Amino acid sequence: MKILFTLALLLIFFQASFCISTEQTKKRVHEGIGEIVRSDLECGSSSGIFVQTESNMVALLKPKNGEIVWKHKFNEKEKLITSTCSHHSSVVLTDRKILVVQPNTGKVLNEFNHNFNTITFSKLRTGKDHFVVVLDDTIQYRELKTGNIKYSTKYSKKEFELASLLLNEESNSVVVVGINKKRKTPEFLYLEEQKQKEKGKPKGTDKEKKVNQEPKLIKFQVDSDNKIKLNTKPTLLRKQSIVLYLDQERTKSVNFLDLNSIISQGKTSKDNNVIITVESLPLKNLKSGNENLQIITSSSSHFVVVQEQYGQGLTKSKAFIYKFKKSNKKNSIILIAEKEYNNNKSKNKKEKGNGKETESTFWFSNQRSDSDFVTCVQQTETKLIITSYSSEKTINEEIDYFKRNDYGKIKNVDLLFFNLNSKKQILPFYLIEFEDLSLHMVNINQKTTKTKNILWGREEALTDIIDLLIIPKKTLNIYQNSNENNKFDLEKIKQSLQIKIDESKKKMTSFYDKIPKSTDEIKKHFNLATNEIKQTIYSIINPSEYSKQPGFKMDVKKLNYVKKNWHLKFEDSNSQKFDFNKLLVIITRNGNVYGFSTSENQIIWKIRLPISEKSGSLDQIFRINDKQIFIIGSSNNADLDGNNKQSKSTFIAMIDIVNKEIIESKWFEQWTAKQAISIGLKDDGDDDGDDNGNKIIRPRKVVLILDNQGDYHLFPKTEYVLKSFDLIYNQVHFVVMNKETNTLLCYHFIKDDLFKTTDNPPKPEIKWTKQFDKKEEVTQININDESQYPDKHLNNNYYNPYMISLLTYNKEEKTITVLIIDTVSGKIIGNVKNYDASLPATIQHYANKLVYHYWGTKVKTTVMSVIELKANAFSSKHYRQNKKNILYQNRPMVTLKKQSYLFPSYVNVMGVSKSKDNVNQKGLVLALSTGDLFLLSDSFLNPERTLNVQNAMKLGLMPYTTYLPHQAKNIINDNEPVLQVKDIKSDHTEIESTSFIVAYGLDLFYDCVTIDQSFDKIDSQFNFSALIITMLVLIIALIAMQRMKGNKNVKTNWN
Amino acid sequence: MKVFYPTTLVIVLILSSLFSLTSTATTTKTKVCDVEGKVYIPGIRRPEQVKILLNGGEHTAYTLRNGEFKFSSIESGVYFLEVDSKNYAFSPLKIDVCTKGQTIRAKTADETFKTVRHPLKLTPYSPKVYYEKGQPLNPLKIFKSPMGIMIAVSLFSMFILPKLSGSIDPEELKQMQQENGGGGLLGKLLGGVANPQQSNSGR
Repeated sequence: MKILFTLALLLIFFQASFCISTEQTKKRVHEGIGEIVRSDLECGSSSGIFVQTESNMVALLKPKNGEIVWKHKFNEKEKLITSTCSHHSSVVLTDRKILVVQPNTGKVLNEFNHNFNTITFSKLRTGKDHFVVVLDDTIQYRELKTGNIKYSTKYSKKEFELASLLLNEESNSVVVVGINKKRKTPEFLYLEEQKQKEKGKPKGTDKEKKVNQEPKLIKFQVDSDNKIKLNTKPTLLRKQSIVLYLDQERTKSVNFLDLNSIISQGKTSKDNNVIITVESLPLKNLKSGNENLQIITSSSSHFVVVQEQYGQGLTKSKAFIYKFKKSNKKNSIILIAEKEYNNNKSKNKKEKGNGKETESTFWFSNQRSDSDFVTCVQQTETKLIITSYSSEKTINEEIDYFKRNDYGKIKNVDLLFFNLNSKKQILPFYLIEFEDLSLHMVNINQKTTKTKNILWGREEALTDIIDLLIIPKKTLNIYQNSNENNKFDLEKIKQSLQIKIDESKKKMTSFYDKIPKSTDEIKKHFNLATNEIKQTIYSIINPSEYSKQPGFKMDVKKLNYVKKNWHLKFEDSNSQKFDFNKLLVIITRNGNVYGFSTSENQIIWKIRLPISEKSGSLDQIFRINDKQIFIIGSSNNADLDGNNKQSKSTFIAMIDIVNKEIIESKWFEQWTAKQAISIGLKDDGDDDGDDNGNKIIRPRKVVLILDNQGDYHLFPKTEYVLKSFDLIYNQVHFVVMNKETNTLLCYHFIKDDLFKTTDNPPKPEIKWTKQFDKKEEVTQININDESQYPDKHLNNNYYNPYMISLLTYNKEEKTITVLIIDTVSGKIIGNVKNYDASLPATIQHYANKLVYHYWGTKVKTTVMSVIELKANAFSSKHYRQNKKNILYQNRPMVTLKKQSYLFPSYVNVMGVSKSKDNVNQKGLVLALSTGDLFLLSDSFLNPERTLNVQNAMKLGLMPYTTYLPHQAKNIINDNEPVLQVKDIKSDHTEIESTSFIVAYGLDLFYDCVTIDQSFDKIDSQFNFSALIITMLVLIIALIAMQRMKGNKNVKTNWN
Repeated sequence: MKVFYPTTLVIVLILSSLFSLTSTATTTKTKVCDVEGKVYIPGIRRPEQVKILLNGGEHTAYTLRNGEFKFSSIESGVYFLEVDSKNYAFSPLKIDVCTKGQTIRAKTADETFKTVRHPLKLTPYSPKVYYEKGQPLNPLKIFKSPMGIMIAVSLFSMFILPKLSGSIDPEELKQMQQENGGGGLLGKLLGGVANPQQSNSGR
């Protein structure tokens, strides 16, 4: 009896242990905004950072932590022109309509179409109840609530050429700056709202045509005798009502226009046309030559003039900062001081002085012209130097965190004032955008430690992903353990601390990982560390205690204790065991390689590749082995098709992702990469050691590049790779699409003499070509992953690892054609034409199935089709005879089975899930236009589905329905939209039922999904309480039996 | 005197008619219509702001405070309308925008094929449920599950089976043991004998 019970218990435990915990990696979305085009600071009541970005969107960021409060993404067809935000409202102008947005919540209060036929020039400025739109011949005051035109003033297009718009919000006046076309002299239009007259007027009608009382327009031009030309954009000093502009051609002087005097003259003038004489101040140091002058910024006490000189491949720019004061007696400007900044943008560094930190760039900024700050941000190779000029003092601060090698050059700087902690103190902050698109909030005026300088940083590079690799963290940790401890870099810790100090404790896991295990090592490293680092570490370990103790005591034991506990607390053992956490190696267009940890939801390392010198970009990334990756780039924006005639050189780089270092980076000037593929090498299982006994990890895969000269290159270039390629070259088939001729070419490798195996490398030769009609645009080539499927035909399913599928689009005929080609023979296995179809369309090929979607122009819905490839074994005698040894000549005939369905949503991109052994049901991930990622089980896409319910039940299939299911529970990103998805990638985990999915575009999303909850995973219906009750009942029964065994009746009955 | 050829007249007439046809074709403007509607969410006076998409974002509109939305100057044709709501699921619509006259006709673009009148009244068919709810404890389900059957079998073998064997006539029991040969698991259970040889020797 006991045996029976133990057996029952064992069975239950076995069942329980077989099932894993349902906890997985949490769904995570890394939201992005992209490259900033323009920004408005102090937006809304919370002083948010309003940004308009290159990705056709507007967003509001929290100034305290850089988080996105809201964002509006516009479709590619609706082009965002300009936007603006103030404390009261924000207005967004697209080429179709104007949107009035509540700045705090992002709610669209009002939207209306506009009828601007040509928007050659348009500016928006928001007032309290209206905003001003300036077109090339009209100035419109529009109401915020309705969008109706309140006032409209026209000016002659022939006479006046619009140059700039200045707005004085305090007096609701607008100054339009332009050039008189006839006289070629600057001309200004000054508009002041007629407030008194407006009161008496009845309320405005809804019709746009009826325009209220026009604002008074004063037209004034500078003294014609003066012959001053307007070459640069003027600025307005609001508090002082001074328009400041520069004349560079004749006088090299700065001109000042006092608006108050203009208004007073305009009021007395009858024809509203005032001719005034400007006050002109000659500027020193501005020499004549091939140069361009511009006032780039100004404050109430300073203005900055930039002089750019162009030469042969050399751009020199100098900046002059002038301090001035308005004289009370003469009403003139007095120049107080000037300082010169140099900026060499040339490729050839010219050494100056001591040769240290010679190359530097500068950036001046001041968003609010009524403020008392002009800031200069200088960037050297290793640091930022921020200098702030105010009327009272000059503040200078150096920040050595921003290395140009890591971040690239500065793109933009904005100055922002906001309350950080105290209500009284308003601090100046600097919003700095770098070449790698990272955005940082920096402060220099805070009287605390230097680590507090950087308030937050946003890695916008993730919005510019070109390609990514999914690397299992499990395998990576093997190498990390051996190498990381030896390279304990205090500088790295310091850097990571600076970012992480204000973040949540969870994100600190990686930091603790880096701390060595042995106490002696910790002691050694902490002795080397500066007090600053020690204090920071200690503050993280125990912030409450740290705040009490002003002095510093580093307790090594405590650190070890915390480290142990930390791991116990946060280390997700299941995730490690089942490989749910991955390392995403990401390449971006601007030359950065990032390691993104999914467990930490952040970039953990980055490497900047030297491609900016040739204005190059990265194109493709390949995995060589668990340690090394290979990257291909090109110069002059040439794509990998090699069709760009400007393309000159190819860039390659090998990176060690464990030690985070570049092994090799090189430019090849002689050839251009046409196509690159990764080939798996035959694994001999031996990883040799070097002289020092260290393990050498051999390449598992090599990268084969075919160049424009018909030659090929193998990377990494080692003898082992060449030897290994010699064994597999005859299996390699290289498919290249030539877009110029619209031809598909297949290359294979042959040797002149088969007997000479050495010193006779194989040569690529064209095996077959497929010429397409010019109208047919090949939009996608899907190559079957040969490593996944066997070259066998099971259950009449046709598997062919050397098969590609193409998707072509004919715009004129509105057709989408799917072609299935055997790469070895060049035979077209299948050709399916779909009418009334248009893009977006994606094709996915897995096992013996092809799934594709397109937009049905007639049905106005997404059409999803599945093609199943069946081997028609009886049609081929050879196949029956040679089942074991299949040759390409006697491959069986293929029968295609197709079925189509409607999916009631707009699908942009599609991806397919991967599992470890390809046993589990496949899942299709569809990126919808609404920002949802929809997971559709492969079981819905089966051509065997029939309308007859009984037959379907017999076959174990679902009956055919026209529409595929569209339920919210299948949306894997829940209610967090993932915008502008470019691609969806997948990788397997250690559990067959679970797949890892990454979708990237404007946002980055990743998650582990289970398509059908079977095999090794408890399904969602599993009842844990039932299991517990069963266990309890059995235990009680066991105890009862123990007591009952003494009973005689039971004994006799059993015996 | 000039001779008038009727054929030339015909050609001229044909050409002129063709010209007039082409000119009308070029001058005719494409029809434009406004598509209006309102989003209603039962029980909520001020519904959340949602984005309305035409043809996957070719045109977009946001609902205002009262739930109303408007697409201005939409060219005639058939469009696919989607409601981008995070909390409610709406049926997509297929809208025929003034292809026949100035009328706008709409039908749901899913299996329901419901006709929706213009201005469009959009109501969700269900709230969006992203997560599956865990099932509450049900004693009946426990007994239906394999674990429940295991409990039942084990309890049966513990308490009821000995009683059943006790009520059997000893001779019948021996006969049963003989028939089973003591080899099967059931025989062992019924006989309670571990070694079949022992049972043979006892005979």
